[in-house]
Amino acid sequence: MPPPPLPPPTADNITNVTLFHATLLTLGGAPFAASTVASSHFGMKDYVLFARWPDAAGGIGAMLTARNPFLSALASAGRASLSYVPMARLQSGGSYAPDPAHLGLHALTNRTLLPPAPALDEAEHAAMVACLHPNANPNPNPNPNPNPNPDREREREREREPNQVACVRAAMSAPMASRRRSVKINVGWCEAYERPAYSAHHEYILRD
Amino acid sequence: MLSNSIIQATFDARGLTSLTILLSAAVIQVQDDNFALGLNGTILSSASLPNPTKTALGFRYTACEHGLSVDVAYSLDASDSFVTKSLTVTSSNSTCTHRALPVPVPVPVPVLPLRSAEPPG
Repeated sequence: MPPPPLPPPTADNITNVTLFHATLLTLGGAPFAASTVASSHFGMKDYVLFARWPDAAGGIGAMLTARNPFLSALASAGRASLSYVPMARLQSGGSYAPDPAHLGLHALTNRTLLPPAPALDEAEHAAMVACLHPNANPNPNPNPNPNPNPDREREREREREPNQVACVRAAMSAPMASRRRSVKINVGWCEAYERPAYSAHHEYILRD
Repeated sequence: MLSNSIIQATFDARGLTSLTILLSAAVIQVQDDNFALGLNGTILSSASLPNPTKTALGFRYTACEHGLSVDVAYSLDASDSFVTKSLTVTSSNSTCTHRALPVPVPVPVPVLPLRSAEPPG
């Protein structure tokens, strides 16, 4: 006689979401040779983990991120983990959708952002921006420059980009000396009805 | 398999197994595409769960011990150079048979005789 079913629990507390859990990434059998984590300068946590194979095919990189600025990104021995700590309650019969994760690839340009920006490859920066920007199209070609006036094109692109992208761009590439003042605003994707705990302030940099 | 003009993603019975940049043909092998959830102070890892069932967009893991199912969906838009992995955790008690909890046995409480309050003598 089979055991009787248990009564359903009234609710589950979801206290951790690990979107990638010790996931092994290899290229030609080799784990990534280097990695870096881009983190918030303003009291939030990690944005993204970049893994690199600098000697493969002119340089290949992988990006692991999620639409959550409070990530914990870890890399060790070729394995990567990406998690965050929600305060979510799953009611019996209900459902809960954690923030989606993204795993992407890009060809490294071997051009590094200049200090005081984090030491990221330009392709890594472009990959992160493209991940946040619904209309961006990062070109994985290491040496793309089809536009005769790239400065003007970049200017137009920045005029079109949403505030979240402007925030990330400023945080990752603006010199500290240019940060005169800031204002905190709410970002919509942190304020879904089911996830009130994610209601978060993002600090926007205002340049004079 | 998911693909666009930039990358291609392949899968096995438990999740993502490779990503390829089509321009350079560089292939990243992905092993242990696992997730984990902290639930009521315990850890539920997909690595400890049996093989999921296939769904239209990905896989469905069932965690009977926790009375949950977890759908893992993968997507790739036309201009993306990344695969998106989305989890949906659903309380699914009706689909699982659980271990029976021990039924609490009532402990007999001795009945003590009532004492009458006697004035101190």
